[in-house]
Amino acid sequence: MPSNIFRRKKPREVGPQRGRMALTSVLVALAFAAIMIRAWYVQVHDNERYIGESKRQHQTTVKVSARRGDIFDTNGRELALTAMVPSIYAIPRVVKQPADLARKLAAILQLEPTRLQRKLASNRAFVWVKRHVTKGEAKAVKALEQKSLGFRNEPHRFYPNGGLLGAILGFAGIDGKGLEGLERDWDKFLRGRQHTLDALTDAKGRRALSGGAAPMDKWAGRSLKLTIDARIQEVAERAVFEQLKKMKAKSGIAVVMDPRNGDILAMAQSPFFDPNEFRKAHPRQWRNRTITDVSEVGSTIKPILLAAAIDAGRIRKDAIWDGQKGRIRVGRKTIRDVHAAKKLTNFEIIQKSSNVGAVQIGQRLGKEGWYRYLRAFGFGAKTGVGMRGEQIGSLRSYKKWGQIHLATFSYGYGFNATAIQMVRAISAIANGGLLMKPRLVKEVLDGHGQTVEQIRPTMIRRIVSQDAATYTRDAMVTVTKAGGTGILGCVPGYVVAGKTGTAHKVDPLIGAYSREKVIASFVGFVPARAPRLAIYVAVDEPTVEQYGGLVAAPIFAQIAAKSLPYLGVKATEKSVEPLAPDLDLDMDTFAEEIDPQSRPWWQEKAVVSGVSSHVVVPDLKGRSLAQVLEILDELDLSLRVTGSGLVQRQHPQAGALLPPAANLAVSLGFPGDFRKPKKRTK
Amino acid sequence: MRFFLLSALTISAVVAIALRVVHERNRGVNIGFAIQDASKDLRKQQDIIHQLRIERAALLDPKRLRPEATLIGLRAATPDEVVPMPVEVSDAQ
Repeated sequence: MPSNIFRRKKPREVGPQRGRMALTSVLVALAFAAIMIRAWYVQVHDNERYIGESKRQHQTTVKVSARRGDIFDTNGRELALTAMVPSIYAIPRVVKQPADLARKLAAILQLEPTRLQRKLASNRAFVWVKRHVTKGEAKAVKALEQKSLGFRNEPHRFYPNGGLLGAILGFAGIDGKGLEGLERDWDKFLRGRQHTLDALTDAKGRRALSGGAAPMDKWAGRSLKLTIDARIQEVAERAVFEQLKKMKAKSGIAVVMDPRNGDILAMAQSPFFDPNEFRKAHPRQWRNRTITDVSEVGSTIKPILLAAAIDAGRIRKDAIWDGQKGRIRVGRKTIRDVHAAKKLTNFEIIQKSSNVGAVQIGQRLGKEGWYRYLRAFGFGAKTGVGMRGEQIGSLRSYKKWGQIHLATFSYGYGFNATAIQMVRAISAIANGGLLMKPRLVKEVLDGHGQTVEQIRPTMIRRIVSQDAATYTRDAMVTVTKAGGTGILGCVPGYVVAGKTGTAHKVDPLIGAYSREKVIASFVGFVPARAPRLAIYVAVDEPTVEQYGGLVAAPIFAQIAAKSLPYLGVKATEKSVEPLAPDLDLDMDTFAEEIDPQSRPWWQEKAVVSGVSSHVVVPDLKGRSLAQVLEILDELDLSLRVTGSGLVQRQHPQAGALLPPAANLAVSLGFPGDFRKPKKRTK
Repeated sequence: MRFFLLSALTISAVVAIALRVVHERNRGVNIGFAIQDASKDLRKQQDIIHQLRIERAALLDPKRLRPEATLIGLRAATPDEVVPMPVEVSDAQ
C-alpha cells in the first residue's frame, strides 16, 4: 500500500503567498472603489457639467419644415404641387476672385454680373446667389468646382397646368407663403408646420434626431380638393379667350356652377396669367375677376324679376301687358324698347328682353318687394364662396329708391353685382327656387391623402316656390328659341334656358353711361328640365359686336356643348345645328335704350366736364385697389395710395376737374378706420 | 482565494453590465443615425415622386393634350354619342 494515502495533508502555509493574494485583493478592491468613486463623481456629482459639454459637442438643433399641401381638382388632377429644387449660395469670405466668379455665374444663371460681384466681394458669411434654379443651372454651377459655393434644396411651388385657373389658385412666394388666390386664403391649412428639433451629430457629420424620425407626413400642410373640374375649366378659358379675340374685347369672364349643389366647376377669365411666372403679369391680372369685379347686370336680371313677381303673387302667369308703343314714362325719364310691341306676355318680356314690360312688372312688385327679393337672391351680400376680396356689389336700401330707381332696377341698371352672385341667383331658378352656397373647396386632405374635413353643399334658403321657378325656367327657354335674343346660346341636343344682357358702362370721364362701352352678358342653365350646368358669361367692352346674344351667348353654348357630353349628360333633344341668328331682329330686340343724359345713382352728383383736356375725378370710395387701378387705367391721373383695404378717402373728391397727369390720393382702410373721434361730453 | 474569485467575478459582472449598457446606447445612437439616413432616402424618393407627379400633370395639361389629340384625329363626343353605362357592383365588395 502506498504510504502517501495515509499521509496527512500538509497544513496551508500562512506565509508570503497568502499575503500577496490578500494584498492583490485589497489593491483590486481599492482600484474598483476608485473607479466607482470616479464614476459617481462623473455620473452624479458633475453630471450637469459633463452633459452640457457632451451636448455642446454632439447635440445641435435642426429646423424641419414640412411640405406645403397640394391642390387638386375635383377628379384628383394636380393643380399645385411642391417639389424640392436647388438654390445656390456663396460664402463671400472664402471667394478668392469675386470678379471672375461673378462673370462665370452671371453667364450661367442669367444674372447681372456687377450686382453679383458686389455680393461676392462683401465680407458676409452667407449670401444667396440664386434661389430655385433649374437642374441644368445647378449642374453647370457644380462643374465650376468652387469651394465657396454651396447648394441647398428648397421647396418650390409648381403649377403644372400653367395659366389654367391662375387667378383662382393664386400663387405662393419664394418662402412658401401664399400670396394670392386660394394659396393665400387657405394658407393656414396649406402651409406645412415648421419645428425645431434636437439632433445628435457624430464625428462623420451624420445627424440623428433625438426623438427618432420626424413625422413629416403628419406635419405636412393640408391638401385641398376643389370642386373645379380642370377639363371644364380649360373649355371655359378657351371659349372666353377665343371669343375675346374675335370680338376684340377688353376682358371676359365665365363662371360655371352645378346648380344642384352649388359646386363651382369653372371660373374662367381672360386675360389670364401663369402663376409659375406671376411676376411677369401686372398685379391687376392677379385678381379673381369673378368675385372682385362688379358691374351692372343689365337684362340678365329680368328672369329674377319675373320669378319674384310670380312668387309674390303680384302678377298672373297669363298677364298681358301694354307694350305702350315701346316707351314708358317714369317721372321725367322715358324708358324705351327699340322693338315696340302693342301687347306683351310675361314670356315675351323675357324672350324679347322688353324694358317697358320689365318696368311694369317691377312697379307691380313695388320697391320693398323687389328689394327684398333681390336681397333674398343674394345681391348686396357676399356669397360665402370663401375667397378673400369678394365684393358685395351695390344695392342700396329701397327706402332710398325713387320711382326711377325701381324702374331701372327692374331691367338691371342702377345696382352692381359680381359674376358669382349672378350665377348663384340663376342656379336658384334652375334648382327649383333653392339658394345654394357656392362651394369651391370640397375636401381638406392630410399628408397621406386621407380626408380630414369634408365641406358639404349648403342650402341657404328657399327663395321662390318651385312653381315660380319652373314658370321662369319655361320663360327663359323661349330666349334660345327662334325669335329670342339668345338663339346663339342654344346647344344642339339640349334645351337651354337663358337670358341675354347688354349693360352700358359708366364712362368716368363724362359721369354718364357710355354708348360705345358695354358689358355683354348671358346667363342660363342646361339641360333646362334637369339642369347640370348654370353658366354666367360677361364680356367687357366688345368692339366687333355689342349685344349679349351675339357676344356672350356663343361662349355659353361652347362651354355647355363641350362639357355636357364629358359629364355624361345624355342628349334630350334631337340633335340639331345651332339656329342662325336673325341679326336684324337681334339689333332691334337687343338694343336697350339708355338715355344719354342718365347717370347711375352713385354718379348723380358728378360734374360733366365740358373741357376735354381735363379729367373728371371718379368716385372711388368703397372700391378695392384693383378696381381703382382698373378705373384709373383709362384716365390720365397719377395715383398715390396709402394703407390697405377699401378706399375710405380720396383727394380731390369725386366730380372735381383735374388737369392731365395730376395727382389723385386715396387712403385705403376698413370701415371705421377713419371715423372721427367722438367729442368728449363734459 | 475565494474572496479573490468572488471579487473578480463581481468586478467582471459589473464591467460586463457597464459594457452592455454602453453597447446598447451606442446601438441606439447608431439606429438613430440609420433612421435619419433612411428618412433622408425616403424624402429623396418622395421628392422624386413629386417631381414625377409634376411632370405627369404637365403632360396631362388639357391645353397640351388638345392639339395632340386633334392631330391624331380624336374629337370630343357629340351629345348623340353619350351612352350612360349601368354601373355593376361586384359581390366581392
